[in-house]
Amino acid sequence: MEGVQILSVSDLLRVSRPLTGAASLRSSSSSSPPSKRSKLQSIQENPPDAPLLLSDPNPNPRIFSPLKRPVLLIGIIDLFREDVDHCCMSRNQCLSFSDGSSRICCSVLDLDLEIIGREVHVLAWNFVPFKDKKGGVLEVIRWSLPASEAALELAASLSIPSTSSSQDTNLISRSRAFGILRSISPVFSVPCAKQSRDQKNSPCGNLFDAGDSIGFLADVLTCSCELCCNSSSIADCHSSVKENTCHSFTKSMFVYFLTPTSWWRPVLCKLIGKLIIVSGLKKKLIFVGGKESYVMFVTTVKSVVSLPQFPMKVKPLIGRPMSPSGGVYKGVVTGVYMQGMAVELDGKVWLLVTDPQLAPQHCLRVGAVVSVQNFHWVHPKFSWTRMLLLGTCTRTSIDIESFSLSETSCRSRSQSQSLLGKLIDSLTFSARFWVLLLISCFKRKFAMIFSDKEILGSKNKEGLVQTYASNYLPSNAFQSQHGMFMNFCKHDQCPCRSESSLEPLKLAIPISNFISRCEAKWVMMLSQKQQVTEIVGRKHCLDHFICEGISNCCMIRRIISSEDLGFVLMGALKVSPSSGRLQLVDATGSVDVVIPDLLSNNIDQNIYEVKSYKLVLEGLPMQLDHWQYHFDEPLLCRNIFKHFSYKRTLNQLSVYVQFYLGDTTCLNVASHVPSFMVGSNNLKSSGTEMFHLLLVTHKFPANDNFQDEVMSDSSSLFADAFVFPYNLYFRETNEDSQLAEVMQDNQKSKSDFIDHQKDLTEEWSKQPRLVNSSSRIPLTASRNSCQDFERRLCNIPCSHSFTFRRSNLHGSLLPGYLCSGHSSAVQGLLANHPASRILLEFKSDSFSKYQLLRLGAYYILKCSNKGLLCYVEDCECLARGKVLVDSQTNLWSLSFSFDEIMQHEPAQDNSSGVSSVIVGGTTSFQNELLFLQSLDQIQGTSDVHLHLSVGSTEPMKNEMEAVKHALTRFLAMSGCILSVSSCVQIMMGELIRPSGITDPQSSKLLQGNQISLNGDIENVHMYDCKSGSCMSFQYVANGDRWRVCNICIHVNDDHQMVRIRGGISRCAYPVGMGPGANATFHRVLVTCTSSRRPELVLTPISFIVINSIKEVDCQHGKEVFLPSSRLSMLDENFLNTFSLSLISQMKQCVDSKLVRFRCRVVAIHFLVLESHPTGSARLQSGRQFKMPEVKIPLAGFVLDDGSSLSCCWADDCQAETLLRLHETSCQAFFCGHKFSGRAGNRNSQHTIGNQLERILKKNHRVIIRNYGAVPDLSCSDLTFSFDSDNIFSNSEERLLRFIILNACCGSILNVLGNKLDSDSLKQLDSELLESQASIQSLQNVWVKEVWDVNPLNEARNLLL
Amino acid sequence: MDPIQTVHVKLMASDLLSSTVWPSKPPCFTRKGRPISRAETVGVVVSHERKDKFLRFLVDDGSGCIPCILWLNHYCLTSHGGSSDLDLMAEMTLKQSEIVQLGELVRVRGRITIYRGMLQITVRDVVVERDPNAEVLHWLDCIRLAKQCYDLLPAVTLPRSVLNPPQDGSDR
Repeated sequence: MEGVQILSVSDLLRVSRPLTGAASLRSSSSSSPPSKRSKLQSIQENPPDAPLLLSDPNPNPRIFSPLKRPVLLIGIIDLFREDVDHCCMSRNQCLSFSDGSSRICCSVLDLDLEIIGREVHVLAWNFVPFKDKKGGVLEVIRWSLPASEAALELAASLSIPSTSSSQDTNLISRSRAFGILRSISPVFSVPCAKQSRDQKNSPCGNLFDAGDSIGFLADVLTCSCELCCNSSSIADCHSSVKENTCHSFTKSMFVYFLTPTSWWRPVLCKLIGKLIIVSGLKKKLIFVGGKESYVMFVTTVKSVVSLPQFPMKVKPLIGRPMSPSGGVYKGVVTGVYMQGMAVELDGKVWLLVTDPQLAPQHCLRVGAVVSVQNFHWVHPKFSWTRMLLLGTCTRTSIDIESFSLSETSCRSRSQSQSLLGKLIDSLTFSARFWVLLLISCFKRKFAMIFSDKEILGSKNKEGLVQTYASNYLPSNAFQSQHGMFMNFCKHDQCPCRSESSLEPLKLAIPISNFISRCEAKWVMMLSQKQQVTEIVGRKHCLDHFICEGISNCCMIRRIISSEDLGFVLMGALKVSPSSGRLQLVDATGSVDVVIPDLLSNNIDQNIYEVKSYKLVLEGLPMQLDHWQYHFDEPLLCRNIFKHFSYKRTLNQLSVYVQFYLGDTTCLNVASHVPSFMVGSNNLKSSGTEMFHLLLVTHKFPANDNFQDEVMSDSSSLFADAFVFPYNLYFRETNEDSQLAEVMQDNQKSKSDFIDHQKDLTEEWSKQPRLVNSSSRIPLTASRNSCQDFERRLCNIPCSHSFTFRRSNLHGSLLPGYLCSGHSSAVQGLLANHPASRILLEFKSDSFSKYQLLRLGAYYILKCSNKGLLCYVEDCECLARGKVLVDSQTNLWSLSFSFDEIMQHEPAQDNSSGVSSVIVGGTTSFQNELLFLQSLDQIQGTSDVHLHLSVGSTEPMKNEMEAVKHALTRFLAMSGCILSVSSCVQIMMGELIRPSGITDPQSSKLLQGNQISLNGDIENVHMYDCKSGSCMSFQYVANGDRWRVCNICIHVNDDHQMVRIRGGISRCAYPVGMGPGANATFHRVLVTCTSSRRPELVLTPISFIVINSIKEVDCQHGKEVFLPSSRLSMLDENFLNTFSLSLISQMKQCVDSKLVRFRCRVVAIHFLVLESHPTGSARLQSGRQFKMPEVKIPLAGFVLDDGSSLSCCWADDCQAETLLRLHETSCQAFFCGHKFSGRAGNRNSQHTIGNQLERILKKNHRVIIRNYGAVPDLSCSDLTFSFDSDNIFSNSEERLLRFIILNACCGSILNVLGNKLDSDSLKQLDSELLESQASIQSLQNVWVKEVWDVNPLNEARNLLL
Repeated sequence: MDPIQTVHVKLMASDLLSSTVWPSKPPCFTRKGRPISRAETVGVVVSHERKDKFLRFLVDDGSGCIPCILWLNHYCLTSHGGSSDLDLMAEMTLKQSEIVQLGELVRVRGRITIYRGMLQITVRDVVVERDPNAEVLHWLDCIRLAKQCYDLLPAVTLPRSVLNPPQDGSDR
């Protein structure tokens, strides 16, 4: 020990930082002589006379500082014998180490009984300071007795020190225990009162004078052999061990170690599994619970615990590894959570520490190796994960086999006395672990919303966790609680048995974990898809559809049920100020939600629990390198316990959730009754409250400037509404006491929640709807008296009951217009009164109200006028046709019901031959999610429900009919929504309209009619982005870096397809927009393109509503090619309805009549090609399949249908199709060499499309004339002229010749056109016409549409 | 001039092959008294003979087989100082000859000529039809055109050359 420095305990405490030291460090000089430099350096770093424990100016409390010189600790290892606990663990786990200077906790790896109370040399150790720096724990790894102590051969035994002087090993005791120590309990106390009550039977009373009896139980397996039974002394026991090695230790014996022997527990827990001899016991019969009685051996002051002097092999006591209880598990601690209650071993097994006294908490740190004995194997039924749980009980012992050097924080946990702690103690293992997870989830979810006290509760008040857990957990998750005696002695009654009958538990996970889980699921799904693709031999699983020559990737949408996910969602509803979307929010994140039955636009701060929901994942089937996306499984318990670092990695994935508000449970509920109704003062002062009834007919989409407008106090949020010709009148009833009772009930229910939250939550869980019809307070309104009263005032159309959420109030409908005369005439007038239209302007602070406003729904708006005689014309609120809605304005949603079922049938206008669509589904098909539920079905979620009852008298019936009629008329007025087929008919009206060569200037203006359209979205893609870069579709759906984007939406029904194009702002981009969605497009414009083709355009006032979505899965390797004729948005079937004619018969047709003929191009006599102007509708990107940037202002084709030739004029798309540019532009063409004519070399710059672009870029405009004989295939008579002064090269000329020749070798096409009238012909270049005499005799036709021939359909049509 | 003289008439093989040949230079063809010069047919290639200068094939449209000839000798013309137009056409014709395979359904357009007393089509362009229904549609078109067009108008006065037919027919 020369050169070893001795440290004192006070030194360690003074430094108070994690240290590790050893006495037998090899000096570097002895093993390998270092170089001179390193030796010098070593001396400089550690001079021999330098203080060893220099206080580090920047100590890192998370790292053990190794002492670089040999050090030794000399002190006495002993039990804590003081009455006052040194630390929380001193009774159960800790030994003490003292060297005269100080005393600290201590834990010894290989504890020997003989060192207790003796001075030892600690050769290797760790020191971990407590957090409060008032102490620490010394972890003794190696020790030795000093030579002087080792010479004394003392018996290895434990005894009471006060009697040690008179200790007699041959003490004749009445009882002793000799056997294997199987298990011990934690130290517990029996209250004094009980002790006195059981004094007659309990021996404790005789042993101790006063106070609680403190002690622990030990289970010793004894041998029943003759030798053991006859041994009367300890010496006999020792000799029996020596003589007979065939003992069978099977008989269980309970030893009750009472104070002062209860101090021995830290030592005895190290002797578990070993043979011990306990002498000096008294045999007693202990009654537990007044019924059960156990024979126990109670220690006395003369009790001694000793080990056999001769070694004896003892069969291990461990049970079968998979038995429900018993066994040993050794593992490395990989995580300690929830104050040491949940310990992760080996990264896969969880140790549930039910009692803090069971675990050596100081040493139970990450990195330690522990051995757990006498635990319960549990496979918890968690619906979201599978795991193995080691449940601890009073018999479990947790022993440290190797100390940790990787973690330095010492935990200390006291027995929880809170209500939550009691709840946890009453649960089975699974439920207990679930509650621990729940606590962790709630603390993370509501970190900024609730305080810890509100979440966890206190000694007297339940917190959110307890309220939720006690309502969620089934009754069999709770287990009967017994005292320590019963638990220890009746250990065989395993609590795990009740685990099997437990229903799978679901967890309300933090939203960050949820999103991460969704991403992981998406990546997994895509990689599986990728694997399947590779198996079937296809390398390209990216599916495309081609629109206008631009390839667009198809989207995949998956809908996953909550039943398959196994966890619940919880959070508050909020409208995102950035995206304008409704979200479920907690402190960790947010997820977009869709609630079909949400009618109220007043969302509160309630916390909703969503058990039943559908998760929707949308994204592009991108090629994945699954190693690139590595997700630490977000639903692993450790990722729920610890702070889960989440960073969204998949920008192209869109995640949202659909659920019904009716299926949710509200955790904390705010008052539903508005303040002006609850506030009695206000009510009494006003006496009456008048509301206008509004029907929202349109919402003008928000632009992205609304956030900037908060400061400017202006607004750009508007909605259109009709004012119903009746006002709603809320009044005090004649029975004031009755109203007061209603109010009182409301107040009571509110206060009841605060005081009896648990009861209310139970009620909610049973009745999950927010508004429970049964909870409505029935009122027996004295209708007759009310009617009389009302009728005296003015013409009252009806009476009704009025339900404001939970409260039933009285009110009436009053006519909103000044009327006079007979009542029936008045009703007729009201019912047919022209609707008064108003504009609702939302201030920026009421953005969420605007967003939640539903089209086609009724709302009530409080009138500022007092009194009953408020008419729409005169009302100040509706002055100037505009109502300003700010944060103080309440718009309450309103629903109607009648005594008889009322059919809300929108009036159909069949005169135009178009049919309207009823939007708002009632039933959903398989894999279809409704986004909007029909208004008739969601009366329960409206703020106000108005029930109109039919009166018995004839006037009352008339009144009701009048109201009904008004309602029906209003719904009809709110706008007819067309189907796609009807829309096509309207568009064809535009097409059929006679046209010639129109003024190009006027065509730049957007003109046309607005329509509303409903259909299924087939595809959505962008065609231009103002961001300047090419963005994917999903980037548009999720991104927040764009404001306005131009999109093209393909909408179809069963028969037709139309395309809607236009710009859309980010806030107006609805959730779910994409293939497979059914959508309603409000107020889209039917207009014509410059080429006089009708098209639908999204304007800044167009509003898109998604009604439902379906799953979408694109087929592998499928490339959907949409020919340009298909892009004409006019369906082929529809076009085929035009009568097929012959060119030779056209002379007899009138000029405006559209005629279809099937023909082929035989020659091109005139062609103008221009480079496409910049800022065009085409994507400016290097996509592979794009059409060339070519504009064809005019082209003249000679067409042949077998009957005659005709000269057809076309431009833009029609000319492109006739030129077959969409086929040839991808082909490679090598000027001066042979052309390949194949589309394989798409990336090449030698494609015809690219070369044509280059030619036009250089020459701007090329005019080609053909002077050849018309039917012959020749390019010899072509002339080329162009605007620029550049020289037209042979190769360029060759390319153009090829395009023309190629166009003349195509197959048959359908052409729809009309004869060009003489005026239109004059507008064409007269010189052109004169120069080509050969075509002068031909019939001139203006081509409207060109599309491919479907031989089967057309053959059928010919036969019909 | 009769308008159908400048168009590719759609006739079934049996109808086309039974057209009247007027021995003029070049020979004229009439169908029910109306002059025709170009024809279009759709059928399956049932015979295929490839030479350096031409491709000869038979198109069977169900009513008969029409002999077709696709000339590939544009190169001979271009090598003797022909235009780039001929060069381009030569390439395209060569490409068309490659797609004419036995069993393919083809749409052929071209001039009606005569060779060794047999009527044939000198191919202007040939297109492979992927949809087999195209053949049926062609039949129906033939019937429709015959009813609505070819059979309707009375025969126009034939040119004088028609009245003096040549002694032997040439195909080009």
